[in-house]
Amino acid sequence: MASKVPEKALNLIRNYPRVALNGLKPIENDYRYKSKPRRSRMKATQSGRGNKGQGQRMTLPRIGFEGGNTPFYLRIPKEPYYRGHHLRREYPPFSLLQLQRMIDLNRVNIDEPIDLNSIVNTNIIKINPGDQEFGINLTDEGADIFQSKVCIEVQWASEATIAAIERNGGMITTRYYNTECLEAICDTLGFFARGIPIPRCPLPPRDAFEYYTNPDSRGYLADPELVKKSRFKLAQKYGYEPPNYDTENDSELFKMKDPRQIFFGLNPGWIVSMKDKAIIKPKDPDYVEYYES
Amino acid sequence: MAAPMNIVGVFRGHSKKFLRIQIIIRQSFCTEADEHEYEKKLAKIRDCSGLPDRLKRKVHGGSPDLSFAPTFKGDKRNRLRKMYAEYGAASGINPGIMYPSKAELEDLLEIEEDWTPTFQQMKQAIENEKAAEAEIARLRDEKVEKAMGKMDELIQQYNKKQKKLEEDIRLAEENTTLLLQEFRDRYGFSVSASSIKFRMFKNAKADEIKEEKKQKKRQSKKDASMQNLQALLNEQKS
Repeated sequence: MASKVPEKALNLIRNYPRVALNGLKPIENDYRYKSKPRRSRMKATQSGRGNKGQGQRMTLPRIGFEGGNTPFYLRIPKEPYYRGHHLRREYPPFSLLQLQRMIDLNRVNIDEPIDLNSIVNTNIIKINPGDQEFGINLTDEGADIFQSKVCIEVQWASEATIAAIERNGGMITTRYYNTECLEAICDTLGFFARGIPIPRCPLPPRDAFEYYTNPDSRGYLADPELVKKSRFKLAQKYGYEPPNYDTENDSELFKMKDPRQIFFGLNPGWIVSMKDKAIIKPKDPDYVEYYES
Repeated sequence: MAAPMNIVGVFRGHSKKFLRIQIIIRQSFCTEADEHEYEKKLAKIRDCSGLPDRLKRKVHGGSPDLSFAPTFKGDKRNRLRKMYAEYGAASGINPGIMYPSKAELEDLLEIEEDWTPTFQQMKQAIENEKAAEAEIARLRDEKVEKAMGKMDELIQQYNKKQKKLEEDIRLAEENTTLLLQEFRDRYGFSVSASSIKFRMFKNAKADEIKEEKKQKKRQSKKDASMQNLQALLNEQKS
């Protein structure tokens, strides 16, 4: 009979655990100092729970209980201005200074329009749609040093910020995305891995509608003519030449998305297959109608 | 089924210590299926990657295992979608599964129609709200303007009233002093204004004045009637 050693050896190799981080041996003369648990002999067996009493016996009362008197959380009245504050939309700040730094370090490409997706893809800032975060608020910190000509799309911007961008010949638009769309934007690869079509973005809710239809905040739903007028007025106010977007060089740069569109170059209803490097589009007229409406 | 084995060749190892002989055994096969099976067996033996089945299939460009048992409703569809996203068209899954079904699409359309206001509707609603608020504010302002118009008059009235009150108080005080004096003259001793004696005196005086008034009135009436009578008699005479 042929020797079984090779087979046995191969069996061993096959059954050994894979080389992974959990299977590495520390280097020789490992200089990491292990912290010793500092405890007395008596306390060692108490699992950090102390001795006797409610603490050790897991019979402590609920949080906030004060021994019987009306506790703080019941005694103090609710302030009306906090009503629904846990449901309010949050727009984490992102300053012009950070943006300028990103541009200077080539983290974003200013030859293309910058939107929330490109900013989040830099992995410098993170937006969590699950935490009631609805996008970024472009703040005016660094407005005095901002020097780039960009076409940027954010979710909230103040007058000073808008002036800073437009003074340099750039274009700024404020745009609303709902949570579903944000999940697609903020973790795009994760979204594509789910195998669902790109959602179509709905209109903003009632309390945001006014902001996004207001030309002074450069809302994406505002009348373009009024936005032009607003740009001119702002230029007069802050003392610079109003920007001109009609030049030949910048035809690729100054683009705006359709109100339902989330990604540039991709329409709602399309599915991006990263594995096949292909896009799947629906053909059925009902679906086409729905996604294009 | 054991296939006949032929020793194809022998080659000697290069070691000086001992002669290492490697015997290459090659099996000859009856059918291609057998060969295929054998190759598979060999591949299995040679495979020492330690990868789980799922990943092995993925690495070797294969299709995923579609025969899993779904755990909850919707689990199968979700997993198939994710599988398609992972493996692409090679997965063998119909890509249509990634879209909502016809029934779901209908539902979506219904929800949009019934519950989602259009741009124009929202705009109109907000405008209406604003108009209503503006109306309330306007009415309030009008009311305030109207009231403010009367302000001067009201101030004058108030001043008048205050003056009258002061006047009344002054007169009452004067009256009290006069009465006190009268009391003193009549009874020979002074009292304070709040004493009972003075109050009784005051009441009595008030009654007196009332009586006088009544008398006067009666008298004036009598005189008036007498005059009338006289006038009548004069008429009759003439």
